Amino acid sequence: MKNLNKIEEEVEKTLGSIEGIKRAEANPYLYGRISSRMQTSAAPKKHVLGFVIVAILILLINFVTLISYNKNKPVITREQKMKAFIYDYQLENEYNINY
Amino acid sequence: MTDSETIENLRTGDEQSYKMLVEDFGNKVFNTVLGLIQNHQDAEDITQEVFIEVFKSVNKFRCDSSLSTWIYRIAINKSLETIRKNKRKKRFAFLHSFSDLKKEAEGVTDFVHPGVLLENKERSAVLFKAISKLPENQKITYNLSKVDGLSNKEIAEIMKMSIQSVESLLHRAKVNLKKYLTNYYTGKL
Repeated sequence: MKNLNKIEEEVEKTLGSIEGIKRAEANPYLYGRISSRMQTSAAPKKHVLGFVIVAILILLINFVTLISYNKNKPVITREQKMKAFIYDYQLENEYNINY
Repeated sequence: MTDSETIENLRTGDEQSYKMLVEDFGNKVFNTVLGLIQNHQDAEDITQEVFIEVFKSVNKFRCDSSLSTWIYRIAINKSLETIRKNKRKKRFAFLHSFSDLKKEAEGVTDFVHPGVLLENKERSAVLFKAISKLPENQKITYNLSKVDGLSNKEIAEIMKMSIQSVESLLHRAKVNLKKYLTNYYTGKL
């Protein structure tokens, strides 16, 4: 019982330990730190900008290459395709098999 | 200077007004954040973030509450974000049991508020540990009331609830703290 009273007393003292607590003070250079953080976040990040430029350049080069390739690509007619097929499978003469 | 004058000056980007706002609210914000976060370094970082947020979003502020209430709300939200982030870290800390991450995630232990009287330091460390275990709303209310010394009316405005709800939260917080402390002193923790 005595022990229980002691615990209760300890609990009450602990709860009262922040009575009259003083306000914690912020860093005296708080404003300076805030303004420097704001300036840093406002400035464009160089590496991000560089990455974006390189990505755009690569896309542009790919696009130009694709267009020029399609332009210079020879047009193959159906007849030419047939001829190439006949030539590839040696179908010009079906009796040219030597035994 | 009235709230509306300050807000108007902040909206025009007047640097002097920024500076004055930080001077007026710097300690209040830091104290609130420190009470909730219970880590000096994190509290400094969050205090800076709070003011950056205030400066960035002052144009969106609709003036439906006082400037002070709005700043307290931002401070509380930023603190809660960090507490949740730290909890997530703590959940995964077992994966890094031998690294510093565990210590960092555990963070809240042995916190001594700088404003506590010297003879109360030991007991207040136990109390702050108990406060950190409270549910979010009770923790905020208890901190605003006991650590920041705000009235129930001010707390009700900040938390957008009735004064009765604040009183009820404070009562429940005290009951829970008593339970925790009784267990602590009987060696059940």
